[in-house]
Amino acid sequence: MPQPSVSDPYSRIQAVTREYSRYSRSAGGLSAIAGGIACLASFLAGALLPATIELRATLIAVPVLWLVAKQWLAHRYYQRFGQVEEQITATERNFQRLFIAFTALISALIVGFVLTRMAPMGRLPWDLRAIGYLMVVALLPLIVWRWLRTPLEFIVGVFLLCQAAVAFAGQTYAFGPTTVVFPLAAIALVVVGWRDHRRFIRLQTEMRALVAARKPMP
Amino acid sequence: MTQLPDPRSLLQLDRLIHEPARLLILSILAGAESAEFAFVEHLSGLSKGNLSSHLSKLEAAGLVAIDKSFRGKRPLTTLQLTPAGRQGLAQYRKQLAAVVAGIPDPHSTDS
Repeated sequence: MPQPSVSDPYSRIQAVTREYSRYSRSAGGLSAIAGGIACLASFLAGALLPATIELRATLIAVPVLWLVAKQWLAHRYYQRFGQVEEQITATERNFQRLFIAFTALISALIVGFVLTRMAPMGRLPWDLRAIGYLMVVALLPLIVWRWLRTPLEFIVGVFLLCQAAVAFAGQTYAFGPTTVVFPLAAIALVVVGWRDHRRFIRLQTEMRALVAARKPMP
Repeated sequence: MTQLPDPRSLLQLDRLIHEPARLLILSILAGAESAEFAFVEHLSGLSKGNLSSHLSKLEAAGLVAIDKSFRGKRPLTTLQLTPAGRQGLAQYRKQLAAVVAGIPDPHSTDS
């Protein structure tokens, strides 16, 4: 029978901290569930409903609401034991750098193209719709850097922002072979979020038991 | 040939890290980029005063960085394991594992 190492309880407490920080950032999986549902709703509404001004305003508001909810959940609701910032691994950091670089490149190309070809969705480059479109596209790398860490979050978040950008221009994404990835990623994010949420509930129970079982230290 | 355990290996352990409460604090901080004072207090079971005292020692040794700021009107103390702290903890773990490996099992029947 393997003997426990003297450092086992300390390793476990380190692992608990790591898990807590990870789930705190994703609000115990709830922000992923919310993102997945928002993405699915945005995609279906855009593809099935007529692009009225009300629908376009809703599609523009959806990513903002998601990011605000994500931040609020992480800081106000899910960090009840205190705020802990997650330690990013080298692989995660490299992935995120790749996402940011990719988004920044695409964003620069689109903004450059629109500005040089005179805002195609309006007669003037300062047309309100063009400004809205360009603002969302220009903000993409910043949002990816600040909020979108995992590949699924990246796909869903970028879709929501792209949908908001095209909604400014009076359009929406339709069903098609290239856009089918978005609802699929949305469903996958909901599943991942649900799994994370169940694990987070288990972690909270473990933390409470850990604290309750410990005698006060001198 | 069997090598005899070196009794000096135990003395080589970093006494600052070897203290249970400080080892607990470092273990908690090793699992995150940074953590709020309240989280470490909650998870470690240490009183505010004791935690502050141990943190002062760890900060003086360069193992932990302490940042004091405000979140709104509320003071916020953020703790972070420094690269030296992370390295020190890893080194300690290695040394302790070597010491433990050298201690005989009293229940073993091997001669």
